[in-house]
Order: sequence, then C-alpha cells, then structure tokens
Amino acid sequence: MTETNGERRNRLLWRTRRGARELDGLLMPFAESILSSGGSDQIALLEEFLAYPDPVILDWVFDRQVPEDPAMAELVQQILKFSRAHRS
Amino acid sequence: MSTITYETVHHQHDVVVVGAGGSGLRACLGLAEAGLKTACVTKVFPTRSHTVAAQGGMSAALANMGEDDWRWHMYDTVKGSDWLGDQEAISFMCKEAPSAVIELEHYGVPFSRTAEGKIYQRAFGGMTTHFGQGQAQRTCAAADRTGHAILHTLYQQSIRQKAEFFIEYFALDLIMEDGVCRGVLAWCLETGQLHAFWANQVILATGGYGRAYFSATSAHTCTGDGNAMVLRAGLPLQDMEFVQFHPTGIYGSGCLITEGARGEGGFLTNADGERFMERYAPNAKDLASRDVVSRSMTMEIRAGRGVGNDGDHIFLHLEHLGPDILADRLPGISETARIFAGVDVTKAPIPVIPTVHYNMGGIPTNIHGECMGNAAGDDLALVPGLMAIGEAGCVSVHGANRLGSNSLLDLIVFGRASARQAAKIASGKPLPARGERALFEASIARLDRLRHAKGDSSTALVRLKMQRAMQSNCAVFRNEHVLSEGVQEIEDTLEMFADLRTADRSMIWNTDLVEALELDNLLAQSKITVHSALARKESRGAHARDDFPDRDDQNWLHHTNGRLVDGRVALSYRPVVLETGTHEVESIPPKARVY
Repeated sequence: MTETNGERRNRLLWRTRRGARELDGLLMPFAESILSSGGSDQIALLEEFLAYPDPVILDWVFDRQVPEDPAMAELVQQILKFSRAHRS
Repeated sequence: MSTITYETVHHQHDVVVVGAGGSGLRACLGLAEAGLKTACVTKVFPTRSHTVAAQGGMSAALANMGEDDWRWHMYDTVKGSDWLGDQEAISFMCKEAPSAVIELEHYGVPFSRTAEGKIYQRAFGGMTTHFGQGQAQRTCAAADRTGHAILHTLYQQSIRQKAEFFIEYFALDLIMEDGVCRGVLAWCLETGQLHAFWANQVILATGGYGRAYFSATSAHTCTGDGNAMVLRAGLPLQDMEFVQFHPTGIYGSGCLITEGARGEGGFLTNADGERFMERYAPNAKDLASRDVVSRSMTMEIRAGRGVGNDGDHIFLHLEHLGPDILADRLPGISETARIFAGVDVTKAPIPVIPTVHYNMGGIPTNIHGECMGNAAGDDLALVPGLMAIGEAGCVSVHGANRLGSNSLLDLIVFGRASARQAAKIASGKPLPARGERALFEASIARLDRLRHAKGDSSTALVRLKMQRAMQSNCAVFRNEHVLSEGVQEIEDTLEMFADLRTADRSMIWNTDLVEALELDNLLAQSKITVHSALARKESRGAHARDDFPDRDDQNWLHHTNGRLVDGRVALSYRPVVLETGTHEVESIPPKARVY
C-alpha cells in the first residue's frame, strides 16, 4: 500500500506530539508551515528530526548542543526563527 | 453512515496495558517477566510519553545522605495530602519506595551518585525528617532527565522480556460484559484498522487530563483517555476536584518557570506595578507555597489588576538579579523565557499565569491497582478484569495535594504492584476467548458519528471554549457562584460539541478525528471535575473555596466518587482510609496543615 501525501502529512503532524510541553509548542506550528510551503527535502529532514528523543531536541533548541549534521543544525535555527516570528 | 464496515483485527493476551509512560512500562515489564503474554497499547511512542517531562526525581527513604525512615516519608505525604490521602496506600508506597528505586537501578537507570558510589539524594519541598522536624534529602535523580532515563530503561527491558508493543494505536473504549472488563478496543492510526484486544486483565495507565484547561504544563497528549473510557463504562472517577496548579507557567505557552526563580529573589507584580504578595503573605511574600501564590495571583486578576491587553496575567520580575546570578543559579530560564515569551529576562518581566500541573483525582483503586466502584453505584466493589495506575489512577496517595518527587514514585510502586496482582489473577488461566462484536458496537458507532460529523463547530473552537471555562470557573478561585457558572459553561460547551464538524473522513493518520475523540474525553472529565468541585463545601489542599475557607473534617474527610448516569453527574462519597494496614506505623490523625 503506497502512502498518500495527505497520510504522510498527517503522520508527520502526529509525530510533532511530544512528551514535553515546550516541544509541542515549538514543533506543531512549525510543522504546519513546512507542510504547506516546504519542499519534499524539507519534509524528509523534519521527519528525521522528529525521530530524535525529546531531551536531545531540547538541548538543541536551548542551544546546549549543536547537531552534528549541518542541515539539522540549520533546521533547528529555522524552528527558532519561526517561533520568534509567529509568537502571538 | 459510512459504507465501511470497520472490520476488526482480534488479539488475545493475558494482560493488556494501555499507555506507555512510567507506570504502564513498569507494569509491562513486571508482567512480561512473570511470563504473561502482555500487550502494551499506546498512542505515542513510549519515550515520548509525558513522563519524559518529569525532571525533578523520585523520593525514597534510602538514607544515603543522612538518617531517614519511610515512616517520616509517610508522615510528609499524609500531611501534604491535607489528610485526604488513604493512609494504607501511603504507608505501602513509602515502605516499597527504597526497593522500587534499587530495582530501577538494577534495570539500568543511571541515577546520579555520591563520591562513595551511592545513589545521590537531594532535598525537596515538604520532605522532612523526624515527622516535620528536619529537612530530608530523599529525592533520587538521573541528572535533569530522570523521566526520560526511566522510560528508556523500562522500554528496553520490556522489549527484552518480549512484551508486545502496539505503538500509535489510539484506545477507544473498554470492552465490558456484565460488569466485567473483557478487553480494549483500539484504532491503529497507521493502517486505519480497528483492533479488539481481549485480555484477562486490562491495566489503564493513560495519565492525567491537564489539557482540559487553557493553561497547562501537560503535553498535548495528556487528555485522560482512560479516565473517560471508565466514565463511558458507567464507572466512577474519584476526587476530580483536586487539580494542582503551578503559579508561574508562561502566559500562552504553559512552559514552567521553576520555583527557584522566586527562591533566588524573583517577584510578582500586578498592573499597578505593585508587589502584591506582600499583602497576601506578609512574611513569606513571593516564597509562599504554590497554592497560596496561585490564589493571590488569581485574586489580583479578578480584581482587574492583571497585566496585558486582556488584564489576564501577572508579571514575574528577574531583571534586578543581574546576568551572573541568572546564568549561575537559574540556568535554562533565560532560554525558556526568550523562546516561549519573547522576553529578555535581564530587561523585561516574564508574563505568567497559574498553570495546571497535576491531577490528583482519577480512577479509584485499591493498593494492588484493582479498580473500585461498579456501575451499580457500589463504591467499594471491585471491577473484575480492570486495573488503573499512575496519574490515571487514584489509589489515593496524593489526596488533595501532591508533593514534588512523589509522582515518579507513585508510577513505579503501583506499576509494579499492579503487575504482581495481575500475574496472580491471570497466571494459569487460559487466554481469553474472543467476545462478540456487539460488545463494542456502541464504541464503533461513536467513532463513526464523530468521523462524519457535519455540524457548525470546529474541534479547535469547542476545545477553546472548554479550556477557557475550566480556567475561569474551575481553577484556583472557587465559590458557589463561579462554579455554578462553570457547570453551565460546560453544559453549553457540550451542546456545541453535539454540533461538531470534522473535515477528514479517512481512517489513516486522521489526526482531526483523534482530536475530536480526545475532546469528547476531556469534556466528560471536565463535567465531573466542575460538579465535584461545586459539591465539596470546604477548602482542602488544592481545592480552595472562598465561601468555605476552612477544612471540614467532620463532614468532608471523604473521597468524592463521580459517575455519568444517562449524561447526568451522580456523586457519592466514601470515607478516607485512616488505618495504615500495618502494625509498623500508627495512623496520623488529622491536624492543621502548617509549614
């Protein structure tokens, strides 16, 4: 069974649900925006990002660690930038 | 109606655990070790359960840092509970605590250590020695990621012991037959199929329902699904009026600013720039206990002295502390405030609001995790086949107010106890037979109804109305008027929910439908919560009534049991258990709770 774009989109949204409240708040709105405007490379990168455990992602967004993969590091910066721009 | 017939996949297990947080995983491990065919059904990946957010640690009287005794821990917990906790359950938990920690260590949890190689323990509020005389060092932690370390370890061990995990399955309902729990119906989000899990025992480990409120430190996933499944089965939830608030959640995001911020000299102001805590607590001021600070903030907002465009929050000031103190003693706070409030804490105050942190109430159980209270209205009758643990359960060890570092302990002790009891019941029994589809037809009908809902109200809109109602009318400031309004607001919200509109009709990764089902769950719990709060005419722990400011042990040393009967709330009461169940410790008689 091949996955449709809609299914892939919804699966990714489901996986922005995290155990830590802080990450829900950062990742859910960002994922929505990537899904509506980002390319498939970006979506694939976000899928890879979401597979990391919460403590690792928290260290990245709090700037306590930097991801080894430069593309991943760039994604973390994009998430923070998006959050700054869209804070209500 | 849909043309799809909802074909169902059937499974047969000795025990099915719903939820893969700390308590669910501890239960799974115990069951699998006992050689039982065990299934764990969970809507999110185990290490993304909300237990991951528990950073503080786990209390146990190990006496690694100085003298300690589980009886002192018990005293602290009874007092912290404002005497609503059952003393048999509390003495059991505190006595089991040391062995539960040691066992976790053997499983591989990397607890922080002392120079001599013992488990390091630190001080925590409310934890004392000699029955309130000294400060205890009782809390074990794995650096600042205790919750994650526990989840990771227990998940790995459970897999090693051959527990079967059904991940990203959303549990819909208990399968009940003649008052006996026969299993659970769940929906696999990836394939869209329904799965009936038949079991000799079902253990609910589904966590709290913080998302019923507008401001909550709980993750989005905390919707109390097991609690709502219990209500739909006609069974009671206990002490739901007791909801713990943390005074300083960031306004709008719910992220926590730790108590330590005020400990280091941070203070709160209202719209007039006044340090109002000086009026409410002249001695302790901004360092008064969580419930007092939360209540004072709410009074200021209600009096029209809140800050912001809607006058609905308060400022927390750290600007005066200077960058060095902030960096040295409050690491992480600057980043949290910058990212989640857009505030540079060296230059501006942080907007904060009292924020839901923990649900003391839940599914009533005995100390083995077996559910108590049947659909016929008997609050002491056991429900065959059904157990509940963790934040979903109410055993009751936290009573009216939970102490910090007692929640991880609760998860592990009662996760372990439920596995022992379930093994005792299920071992030697044949695997359960498959039951008839008629037993879960009503559950499928509910799913189908929401999936094709064509009304006018979106899930997001109805959810916001519920969250605002609970935040304004069933939070920190409570009286007859405010709570009666809350009852009406929730009724109005339920009417809106009856006119719900969902957009996605598919079954695969239909997050729109999951959110509608979760909202249904939250609404049922909100209804019980606000009715229970209106009925309890006293102030105790987290339940503070402006019109009944005192604790009333004559009339209210009782647990509330709330059921939904034909859509109406039916409340009943049973006495708190004051007996300790052991000769090793005397009952602690109620007295004023002063610190």
